[in-house]
Amino acid sequence: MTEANIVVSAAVGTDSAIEVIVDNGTDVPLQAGQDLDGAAESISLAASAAKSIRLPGAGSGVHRLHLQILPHPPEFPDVVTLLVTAGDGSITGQAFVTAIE
Amino acid sequence: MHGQLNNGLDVPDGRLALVLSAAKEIEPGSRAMLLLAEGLFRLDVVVAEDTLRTVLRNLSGGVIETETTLGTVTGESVLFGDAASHEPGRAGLGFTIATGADAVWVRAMIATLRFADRGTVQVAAQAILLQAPAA
Repeated sequence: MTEANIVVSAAVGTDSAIEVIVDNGTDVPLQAGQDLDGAAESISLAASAAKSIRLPGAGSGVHRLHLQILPHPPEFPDVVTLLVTAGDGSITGQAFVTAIE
Repeated sequence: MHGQLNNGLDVPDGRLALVLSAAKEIEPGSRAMLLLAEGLFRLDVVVAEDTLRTVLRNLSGGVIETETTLGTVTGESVLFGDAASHEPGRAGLGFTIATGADAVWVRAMIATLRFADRGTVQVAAQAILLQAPAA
């Protein structure tokens, strides 16, 4: 999503679960806050690696993933808020990106 | 459950900085708290037809000065997946909270998606709070 290379993709698995993959393409680990259907925790996105986050099956209502990825300047100067909503056969995503300078 | 995420940010000159973000799915006409900065402000939203109304409550005991420039946005908002088919909207809000000699700048981005099949609107926001430089 940014020039510093965070790429987010999502796919529906064979068991109808949604898998969101956050690929940290930077050379530094990034800290993030995560809220998955109301369960909040802190996570780390390893440098140059992809992290898979699994949402429950699409057949069981609407599910929401909220990620707040924190900057690691100078390699990654942005705050990124990522919101993924899955349900009713669709996956929608929104992101906010703000550079902290 | 409010579902807001809050984290501190490191800025180069050592000033205090925070990021707040949250999302709510609400029915048109209803009012919901979107962001809460304890002791500073509360931002509520109301969606009515194609209008997003924001209600800013001052919790600081100081003065809030809103920016008069409409559409204040600092940053980018990005859509993916099926989001473009849900009538996406976007708005910005900027204000300064002053208490005595201290001030905090706030820049918020707000985005909406309309889920017609559920009769709801998802409102999401990210706000950056930055301590103003010493005068």
